[in-house]
Amino acid sequence: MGIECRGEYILNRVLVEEEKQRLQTQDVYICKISAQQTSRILQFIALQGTEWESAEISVQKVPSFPPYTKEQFDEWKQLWPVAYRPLVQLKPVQLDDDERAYINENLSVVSQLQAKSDSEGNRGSAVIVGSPKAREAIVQSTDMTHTLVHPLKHAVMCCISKIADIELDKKKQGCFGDQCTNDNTNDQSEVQLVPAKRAHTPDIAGTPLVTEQISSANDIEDNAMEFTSGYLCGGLDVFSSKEPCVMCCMALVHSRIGRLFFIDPSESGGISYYSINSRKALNHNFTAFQCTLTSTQNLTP
Amino acid sequence: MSDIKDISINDSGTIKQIDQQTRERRLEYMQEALKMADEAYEASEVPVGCVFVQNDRIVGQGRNETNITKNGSRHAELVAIDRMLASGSNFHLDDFKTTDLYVTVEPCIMCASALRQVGIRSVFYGCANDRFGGCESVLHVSSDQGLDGLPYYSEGGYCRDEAVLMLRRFYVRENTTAPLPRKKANRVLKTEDLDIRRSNK
Ligand SMILES: [Zn+2]
Ligand SMILES: [Zn+2]
Repeated sequence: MGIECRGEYILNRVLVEEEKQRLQTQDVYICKISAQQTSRILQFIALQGTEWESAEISVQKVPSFPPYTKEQFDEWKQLWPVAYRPLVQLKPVQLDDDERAYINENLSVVSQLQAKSDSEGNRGSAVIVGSPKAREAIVQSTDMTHTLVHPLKHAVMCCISKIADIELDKKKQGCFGDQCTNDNTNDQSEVQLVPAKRAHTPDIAGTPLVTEQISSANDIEDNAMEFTSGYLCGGLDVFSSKEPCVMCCMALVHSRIGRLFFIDPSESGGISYYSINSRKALNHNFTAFQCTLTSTQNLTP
Repeated sequence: MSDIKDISINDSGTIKQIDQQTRERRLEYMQEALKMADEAYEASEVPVGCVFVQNDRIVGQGRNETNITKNGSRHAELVAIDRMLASGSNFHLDDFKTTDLYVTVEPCIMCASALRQVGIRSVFYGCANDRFGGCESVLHVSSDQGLDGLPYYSEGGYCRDEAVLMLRRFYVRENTTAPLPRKKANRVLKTEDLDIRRSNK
């Protein structure tokens, strides 16, 4: 794409929900009988007669979950006997050169898109959705809240809409997901279709949802038709210059993406605040990476 | 209906009595939301519907459109918000400050966050959303501190049983027409635990 890579990104897997849990405590009563209420404990004590006259009742807090990390274990074991089973160590991210280049390039692009968007007075992030299999970008968007005067048109939401429209176009062209007949391969993700260029994507109200702002977007759109298939954004990679907000992170869960790479973290973001990518209660999880640029330029004085 | 409480807790946490008239009006709006959910059901979408109400007037409505759009984020609430903010509409972003949402199912985490970001006043819903709920069931996006947008008051239990029935009808139909039909138990519509009074209009 003619992008000048300014350096190598280091990928740090973001902690999963359990790794971030802090000491949470529950009040418990330790006594010889199973008493649930203070009144019952007092009753019990009263029945013991003089022997218990000087007994002191104290309330101690103890952990209500088993520890998940070594750090939690060291802190929590002081209070209460807790069992700690070391995790099967999560392996450091193993990337071959091609994949590393694909990730680096897309992170460089979102970072540059963001800079350009910022200079135009926007404040949100820039996002690319890519295919891990083809190692190619599919769609991209900057934050459109300012342009469209709509507080919810974040870059992630715009990208999800674009992917959906690509799916719809496929359908219009007579290719219906599972029934897609493709001569030389069984692989649904290799469907070869000629991409239809669209000037903009109309939303339900008929106003343009996304207009191309960046000229380099065109070759990305060209790839678009080929690489999405199957269920929504299932298994796709999302590259974002900023950590997505709660709405966007949950939209990524609904869309069933595979991996999220973001550069700048945010305290109110869906990953930092709620670990939305790794919550057991949700029906889909994805791996999130916070990516830091180790720029050679930054090292020179 | 036993679900509907006579009291409601306002933003400052104090309990206030809501009068009969207010409660009945809320149930009427919820009936409108149920009509939107019914429209979704007829269109083979997960039956969730909503209406936005400002100054006793319906100013927006929407229903699930995830299948037709192939976009998993086209939930009733976001569909309605997009229409309300579309160019040519008289509704402006500032109007959300004085607007309430009536939605048949507790908003999911995504929509709960979207509602903060547009600055909704309050949210009334039918049944809880055990899998994705963002107001009480899974997370408390509506009230947690330090997130984008503004916290808002939310309360469930308005026409809960009708909302539940609509979802059950949908899943029974899906399971019955699936290429590989599911277990028989999933194809039978259970209603004995619900108290449905369509008559309260
Ligand atoms: Zn967002
Ligand atoms: Zn939702």
